Amino acid sequence: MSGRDLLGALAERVVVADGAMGTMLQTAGLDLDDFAGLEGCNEILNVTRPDVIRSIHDAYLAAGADAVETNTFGANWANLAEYGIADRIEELAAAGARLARDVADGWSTPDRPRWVLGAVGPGTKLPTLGHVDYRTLRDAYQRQTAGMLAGGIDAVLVETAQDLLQAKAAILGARRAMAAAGRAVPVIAHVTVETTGTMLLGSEIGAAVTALEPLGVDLLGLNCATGPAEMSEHLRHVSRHFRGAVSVMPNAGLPQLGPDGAVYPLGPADLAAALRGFVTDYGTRLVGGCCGTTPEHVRVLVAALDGVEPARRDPRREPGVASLYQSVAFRQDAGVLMVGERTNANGSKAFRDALLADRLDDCMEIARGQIRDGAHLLDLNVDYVARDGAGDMRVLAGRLATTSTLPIMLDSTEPAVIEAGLEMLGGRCVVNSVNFEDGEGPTSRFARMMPLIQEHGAAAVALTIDEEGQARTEESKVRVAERLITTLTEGWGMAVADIIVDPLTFPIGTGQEETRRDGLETIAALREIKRRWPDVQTTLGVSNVSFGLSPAGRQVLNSVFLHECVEAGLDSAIVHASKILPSSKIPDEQRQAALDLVYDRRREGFDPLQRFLEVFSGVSTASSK
Amino acid sequence: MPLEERLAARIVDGERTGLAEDLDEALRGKPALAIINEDLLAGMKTVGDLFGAGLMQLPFVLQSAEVMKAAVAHLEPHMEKTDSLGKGTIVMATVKGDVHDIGKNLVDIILTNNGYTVVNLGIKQPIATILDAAEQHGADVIGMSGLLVKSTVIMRENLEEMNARGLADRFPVVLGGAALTRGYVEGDLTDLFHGDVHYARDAFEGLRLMEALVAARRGEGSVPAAATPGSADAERRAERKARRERSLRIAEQRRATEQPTEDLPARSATATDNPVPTPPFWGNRVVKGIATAEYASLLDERATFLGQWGLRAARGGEGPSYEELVETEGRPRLRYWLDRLQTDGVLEAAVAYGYFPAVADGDDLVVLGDDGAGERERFTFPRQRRDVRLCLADYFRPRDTGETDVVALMVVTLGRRITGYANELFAADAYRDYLEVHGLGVQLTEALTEYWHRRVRGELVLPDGTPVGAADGPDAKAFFDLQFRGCRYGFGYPACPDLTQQEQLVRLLATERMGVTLSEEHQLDPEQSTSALISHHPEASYFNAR
Repeated sequence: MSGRDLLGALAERVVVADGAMGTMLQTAGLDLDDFAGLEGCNEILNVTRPDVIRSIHDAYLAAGADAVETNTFGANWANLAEYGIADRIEELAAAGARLARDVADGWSTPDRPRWVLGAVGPGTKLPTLGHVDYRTLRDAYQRQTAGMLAGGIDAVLVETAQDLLQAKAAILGARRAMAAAGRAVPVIAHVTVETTGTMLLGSEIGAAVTALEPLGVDLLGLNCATGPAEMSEHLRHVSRHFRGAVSVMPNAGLPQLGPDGAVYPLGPADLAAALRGFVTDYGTRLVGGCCGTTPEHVRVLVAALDGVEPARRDPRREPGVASLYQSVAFRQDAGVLMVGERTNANGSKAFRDALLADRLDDCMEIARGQIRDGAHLLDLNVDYVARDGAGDMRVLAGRLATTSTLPIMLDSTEPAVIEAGLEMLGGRCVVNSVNFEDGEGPTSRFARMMPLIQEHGAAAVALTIDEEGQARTEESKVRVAERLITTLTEGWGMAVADIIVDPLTFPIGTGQEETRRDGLETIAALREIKRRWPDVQTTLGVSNVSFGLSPAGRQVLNSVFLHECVEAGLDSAIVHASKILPSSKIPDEQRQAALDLVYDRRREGFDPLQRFLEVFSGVSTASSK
Repeated sequence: MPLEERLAARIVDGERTGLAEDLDEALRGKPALAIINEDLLAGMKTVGDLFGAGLMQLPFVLQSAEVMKAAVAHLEPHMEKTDSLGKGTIVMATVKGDVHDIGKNLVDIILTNNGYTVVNLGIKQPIATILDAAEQHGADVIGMSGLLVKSTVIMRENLEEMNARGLADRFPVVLGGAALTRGYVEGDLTDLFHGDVHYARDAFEGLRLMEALVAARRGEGSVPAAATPGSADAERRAERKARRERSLRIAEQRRATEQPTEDLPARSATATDNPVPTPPFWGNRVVKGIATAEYASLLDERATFLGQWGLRAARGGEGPSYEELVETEGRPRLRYWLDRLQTDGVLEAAVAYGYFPAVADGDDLVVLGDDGAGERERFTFPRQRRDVRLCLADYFRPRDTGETDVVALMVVTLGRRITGYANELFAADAYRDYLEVHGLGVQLTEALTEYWHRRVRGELVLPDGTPVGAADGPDAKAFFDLQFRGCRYGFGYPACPDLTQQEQLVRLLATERMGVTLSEEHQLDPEQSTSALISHHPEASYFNAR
């Protein structure tokens, strides 16, 4: 049976997967010889005791399971390296998949196919905490999936994910294996939410949904750690916001530690009742068991689900990004999404000095300052001549990954720097930015940046720049925006809501003739872009508008310009949030002068720039702080 | 600015940068003890005056105290072992049965950093322990604190115990706490106690009392009845006493002329034909991992900034307005703390809640078995003796209607870590952080309570298909104005004052699954937890059942 059929079946009915493998192996009476001297290495049994593994698959299929999981949970880098057999990842994964395939095929009938889910576990190393680097993990997961594909799996099941960066490594490793093998199967991702209510490193379920869905996950859900009671709220969230199908495999209750190890309190009837509730309440389509569940649990579950109609879902995705901890929506109820601009080696001298002197704690303090100031996202830019940009990005993004609850906007013109950041952050990032400066040919920056954005499921800032340069007029800004949106959606499969168009801000206070209309052209372009693509996001580096003016004048002009842009439909702004004044705090005379300047209201005998400079001569900063 | 003035100014401004250098320079001119007494304490005195005049907010007072603490710590190696400020000693504690210690700890901070020796015994201290410590440390004063109404009774018992032990003359007592009133302390308790007992409204009144009491003990002055300016004279005290007696007399007269209870209706006229909604499930559930941003969006900013953090506008229009303080201090610090608490893994929000079939039986609410039969638990509520004769049970279908109602119960908690986290800040002399984290913890617990009450309203569906929550007001402000259908009653509040009734609630919800238990004193543990009984009745609102 092929994977396509699995998704087809899931669209029609509930599919029941098996229960625990480890629990069954513990009772199989295996000795050290069975493990070839590698005590506790369950994956070695795929070659030393295939009979035992077969019998377990057989027992679950006999109990009525539609799908079995391969005995490959630990066929990964961290686990097998501990036994000194990391070189056997692909071999043991293939062996495990072949066993399950063979047994499942024996049970399959044309009316009742049986599927094989390739189990991918987390290992014991957490990349977000620096235990292992992303690429090592990803490449090992690629080898594991390659083996399982060769062995005939119908889907990849990335389960027991505790660290979003580890989950990303597993999913993207699996995707690379599929691309190499020329055979794609569905990807199922299960995160593990601890009794604390978050994943091990503090991720809320919302962060997991936002981070994992763009990686091309077909089913999302939870497994392990707790019983169904503790999972309910998280599954509810997945059901309401994830657009693929929902899947769940709880333990047989919250494990209670006794003298003989963990004891799982939930009997078959209780587990079945809880899972049935997940089907009728949350529309869950794939159900099964994790630790402590047995063929008897599956038998009772299959009976309990007979004729049960899954709840209809109406999932609403909330476009946005995520840190390790939380999801942040692009659209903020109470105003504009503020992107902190101080963690920028080009924009903030304090940050650059701290970076050059390796004062990382000071860099983090600057990041925290942005949070205090009300930023929703942090723009992180480490580009500075003669520095190892990728190295700096690795260090800073790695620190921010756990230090900040705010998602990161990775800001660099260098694809290698962006990639370094993406490989340190398990949440969902924005990449700042792409444009058509040197076209979209194979060697263009655009063509080098986009595969990274696509693979990592990032959102992207798209600047209205093309081969002719920066778009200065409404017409050209909209034209380039259209080309960007079309290329990103049709060429690269991005959702319109994940594209953040930046129609560019230029200084309007320089006095040069050609800059006079830059403010109003940007505002007009914003309005037109939002009219034509209501779902697209927009952003501007607002502070640039006032470049060259006095500090007091800058603060007022930035604030007034931002206000006008928000009126025109601006969704987010890259600003120093605490330096923005509310309209009510700006004296009428100053606001009028700023508005005249923004809209270039020149007339006979009146120059708005001159007027603006007069109004602000001698005025000191009325900081809102 | 000359060095000595600069040192005092550093204390007032809470400015730590360059402090060590200034102190080292000062040490070349005079001994450490003199620097403390002449310069640093002068700064603290200014801080107290500014606070008293309403010109300085509590967070900045605490910042000053932090600098004071750091300065003294810097000077300590330069002091003789025998050097003591010798200003006096207070032994203080939160009284038996009460775990609330923010107020007591603020007094500790202010007294300590004004040169007094403070022996802080912690929470839930019986009088015997307090007295032993007072003897052992040669206390000049005993301080007792407590937030609960019950604690005011404990304080009275403690004073009686001191009378009985003949220790009333030996130790003057200062009392403080949210449920105390000046009238109660300066009236009832003063009459009862054979010694000297005083009420301290805040930490600075405590400081003034301490100064006066120690001076009196050392024969250097007399103690005013109250240390608050303007209320110090005996005349006012007599007037207050007269007023109190007058109101007691009126109450007695009213009771005498009241209708006898039997002539009053047994039950209020609350409707019994309101629609009963259907819950999504019967029984209880535990929910963890509620996204911080979701419930934090219901944070009552005003209660947090004004009530907990003390961000009050300066009196007389000098200095920043409340709105300015919110912008410059409140919101930035709030965002900072929400981020820190989350990245440090401090918030463990959890809810145990459930829906139960129930009927009213006189003054009782009877929780039935899940099949709608039998009696599972019984809550007993007080009924008003006059007015409309309301009782909480009236908001549920009476048993004799033959119909069954639904009651929602919930307990929410922010978990145990937030309290420990705050206490660590206190122990590390990060006073302002301590105040902010504690206060934010209290208000986040409230926000979580609001959030889950809203969830309950959304889950209860009326027979016409609309949820009870359809009547909710449009925004967060509407919540604080109680614009929604039904009402949420907390135990220990006027409509259901009896804390022991929480036993039934905790049993029904099996709250131990999320680590919440009841202490011997029927307080929820951990501290940042709340309990509630929710009625969906459209007439339900807060009332006083006395």
